[in-house]
Amino acid sequence: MATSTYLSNPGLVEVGGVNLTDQCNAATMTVTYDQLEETTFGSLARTYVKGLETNECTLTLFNSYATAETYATLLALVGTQTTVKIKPGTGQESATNPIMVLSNTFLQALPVANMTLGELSTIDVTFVGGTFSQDVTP
Amino acid sequence: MKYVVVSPRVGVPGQPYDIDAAQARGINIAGLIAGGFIARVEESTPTKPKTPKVKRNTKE
Repeated sequence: MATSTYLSNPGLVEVGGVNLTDQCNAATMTVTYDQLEETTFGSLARTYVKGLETNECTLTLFNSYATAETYATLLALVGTQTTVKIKPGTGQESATNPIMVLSNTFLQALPVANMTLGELSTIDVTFVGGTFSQDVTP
Repeated sequence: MKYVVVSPRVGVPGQPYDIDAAQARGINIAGLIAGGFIARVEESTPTKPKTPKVKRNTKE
């Protein structure tokens, strides 16, 4: 059985036009559609069609309060809509290395401090909603 | 009004930052300025170079 594995090492993690790749160690972008039931009398199984998109992107970022770093980037975005981009690999964008774009996505909450003795400070931020698209043109 | 890149997180430092394109992509310009990612620079108008005054010989 042929299998392939993929090393998670994104070429780009960008939030609001700011490249945060070197501060991010986990990223999940999920495209979800509402599931609308279309089953009718006489059907033998339930069937569904898609409704509205409800997309989500969660990033784990190392915290930094320095100028032009994580905190400065996200503080300006909390409570607003922004754009998040993730590119799986370091090469040029293409059909096999698309930039995944979540536009007009909303950052509802920002953990402004998350500190544990003896550990590097990280925060998890979740962007909700917005429109998903792919950019494959270099 | 002109903007330049300050932080390498948004481009090459010192290069002009295209805010029109950024705004079209939904980027929060005020946030980038407040966070120190880009800076606004005043465009100065070139002034005429002063010509050196020539002393006239009045002893003739």
